[in-house]
Amino acid sequence: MNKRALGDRGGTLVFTISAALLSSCLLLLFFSESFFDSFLLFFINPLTNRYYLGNMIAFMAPLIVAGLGIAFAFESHNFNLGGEGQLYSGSLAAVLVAIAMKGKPAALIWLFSFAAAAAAGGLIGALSGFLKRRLAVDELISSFLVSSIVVLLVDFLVTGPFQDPFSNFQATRAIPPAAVLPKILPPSSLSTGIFVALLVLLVGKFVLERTRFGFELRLCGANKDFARYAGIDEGVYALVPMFLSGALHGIAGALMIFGSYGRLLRGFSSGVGWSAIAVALIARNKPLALVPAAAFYAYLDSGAKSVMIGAGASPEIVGIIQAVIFLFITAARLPFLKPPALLAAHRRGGKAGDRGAP
Amino acid sequence: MRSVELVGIDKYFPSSGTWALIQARLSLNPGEIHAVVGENGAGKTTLMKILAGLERPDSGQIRIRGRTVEFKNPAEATRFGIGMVHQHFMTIPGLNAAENILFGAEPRTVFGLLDKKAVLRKAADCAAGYGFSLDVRRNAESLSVGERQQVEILRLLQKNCDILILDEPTSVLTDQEIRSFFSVLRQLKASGKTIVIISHKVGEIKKIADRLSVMKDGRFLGEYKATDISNHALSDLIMGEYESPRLKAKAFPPRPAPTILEIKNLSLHKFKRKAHALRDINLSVGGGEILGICALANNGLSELEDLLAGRLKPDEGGVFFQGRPYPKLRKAPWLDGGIAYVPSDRIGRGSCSDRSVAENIVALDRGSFFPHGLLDSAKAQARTLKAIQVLGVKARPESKISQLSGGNIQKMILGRELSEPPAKLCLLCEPGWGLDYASLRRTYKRILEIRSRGSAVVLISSDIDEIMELSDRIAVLHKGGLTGLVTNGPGITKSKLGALMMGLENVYSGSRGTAGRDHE
Repeated sequence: MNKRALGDRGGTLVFTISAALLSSCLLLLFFSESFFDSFLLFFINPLTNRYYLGNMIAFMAPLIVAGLGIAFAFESHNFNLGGEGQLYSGSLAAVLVAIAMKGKPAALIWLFSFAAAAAAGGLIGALSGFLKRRLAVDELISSFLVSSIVVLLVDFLVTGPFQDPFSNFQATRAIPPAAVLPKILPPSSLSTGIFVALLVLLVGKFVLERTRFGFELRLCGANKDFARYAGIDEGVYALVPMFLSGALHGIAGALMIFGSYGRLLRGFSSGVGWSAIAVALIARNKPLALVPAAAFYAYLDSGAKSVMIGAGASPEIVGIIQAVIFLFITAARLPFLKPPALLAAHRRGGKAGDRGAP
Repeated sequence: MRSVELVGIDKYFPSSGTWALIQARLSLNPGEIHAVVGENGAGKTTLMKILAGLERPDSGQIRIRGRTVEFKNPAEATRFGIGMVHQHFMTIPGLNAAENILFGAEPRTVFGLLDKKAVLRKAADCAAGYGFSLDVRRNAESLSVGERQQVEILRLLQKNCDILILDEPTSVLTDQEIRSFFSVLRQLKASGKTIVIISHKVGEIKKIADRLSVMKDGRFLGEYKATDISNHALSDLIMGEYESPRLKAKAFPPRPAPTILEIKNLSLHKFKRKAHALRDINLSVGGGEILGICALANNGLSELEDLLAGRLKPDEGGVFFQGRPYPKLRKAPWLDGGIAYVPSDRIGRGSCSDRSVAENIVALDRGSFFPHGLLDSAKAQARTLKAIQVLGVKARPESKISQLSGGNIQKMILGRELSEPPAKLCLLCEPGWGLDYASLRRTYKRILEIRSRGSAVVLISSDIDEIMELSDRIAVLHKGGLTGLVTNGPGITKSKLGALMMGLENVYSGSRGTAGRDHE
């Protein structure tokens, strides 16, 4: 039974990845002038070109951290769809703190900025957890809606009160140069932020798998009725995982600012909050599996950008390819897209509808 | 010709490292009721799952009416007229009975939409044709367990299944439901269906089955005509040993320890659209005493369980544990102030199916398995092994609960909740569910031992035999109110309790105050 389950899982993963790759090929065939050139640019260039390779690894950092945030939420059966807003607001908090601390030692700036990012993202996530606990508002809906509002609010702040008066971009002022994380592979944007991401990942793995908190969290996610039976206050595990999930998204945003952008550009996160969901779904919320999952996602993203610049494909194609990949991954992974309840129950030998979709 | 022959079936489960079946066989005659009997984990269900196409054998042959077949999935087995009703029913809430019966084969209108009228008509015809008295318009949630079972059987019948496999069909039924269920079976047999019943209840098998096959440890022991073998010989075969069924007869302690659980003037007005789910219940249980509470289905037993489990809040009155309000969150039974609780819903509440046996045991006492917040795996492993041994669970600590049979899950829960040291209060709901004879004896013995060591035991059960065998006092509920609170003894008979459960009699004298322990 175990073997079969593993086989199923492996099968779906292979299917998902090949479908994503194949559809990317098809899109290239339709949208680019020379298919062969585009193909090379898409699949080979990100691995051989220093610039694209560096950017690809750099992009993994926020994906890993935000993916870990999604894993914390999903493992406790909380559906955080507000990653985008949490990440965006965390970034703003980090930038503002960094600018205010200009002239202080870099280590202090990092400490306070990342804490501010975590707090901002965390509070927004916790709001949905609070609404769920107090008013039984579905966190899937509330986190998405709250995030949509927050994104508009941050947009307003960036282009209004905090707009850099000396810049033509819609952006805040730059963070102190001393606080920018050291670059590793110039001219790409790869920085030591990737190590920060891996460190956060290891801590997250430890918390989830070895601590009492992580155990209770996962138990609440697996079977709330049993968790309650075992004397766990499941209300705590609506609130705290949503806070942590938001906090990790905030940190992911801060990593992008301190590692690559140096300031908050309007709309800079361009869907990282959503991509993190795809990454966590591929990794099945397993912390270590987030690394290859993020690598795969970043690879396709990097390929799409390489085609965009190298072969003059329109920027939309990048968006379309990302959307298609996301579609395939979520279709194969989301828990409420299960086979009909009866069949599923048949397979598990359990009761139909005993634990339905959230 | 035999309608079904299974020959030389082997099945190995690599995940648990066990041989579920070793050269197992079975043969069925057309139009008979055939029982497959054996202990928990004897391989009965696995063998039947192979026949129903849910599992594939490692070796061996399946012959249906002389033809050798190989089933890749249940749908192929259905094409050969084989269908299985599982231990855990799979009715879909939100659909009515008719839609459940015709699930997947609903008549459609010309526009391809669900033809609700035709669904109702077809399902009603099917039910009436086999003499079922089921109202197919009713919603699945409102059906009793017995009615849900009828839905399951009708689902197979409308697919033209003529070989029906029923896994432990009576384990969830009340005595009356079992009687009407048996008459349904006889009717099906008369219309030429072949019926296989998986069971370990010797008495019932002898009543209903024509022939029986005995299994033990994955092997086939023999095939008998039901009339040819005595009850004792049969249980000897199943157990390999025979114990006297009555453990009882230990005298009730003359001076019981102070009250441990007290239920005062408890009422629950509305619950799931039922008015007066519980009315003015007054009960108290002292240390060293077993209070049995029984009722027919839908008479307040499950609401009482949920109240004592802290899931429901009473509208009036209250529950007290050792004089203090009942705790909101339960502590593990072996901790001070802990409560042992064996829930009637063993899969949804009592265990977490996609976690390991070890995790299911560790979950109850996180404080000591996570000293300083971090996991102590050695300790978790040790406690798990001990709990597994206490009641002989056939599993390894790392096996997932979903791989265990129903009886083994129950044993795991019992092992965990009744481990040393015993809890001050034990809330046991249908503790004997799904257990084979030997495990049942061991469990009863343990419950009586816990009682004699001064724990208060509340036994909530719809199995009257269990209630009568274990209880010192028996409380009977009817329509949410007490109809009797009697001291168990020679004067208490099944028919007496039956009359109380059906509300034909009411011997409850309970005005407040005296309603507590009648021996004081």
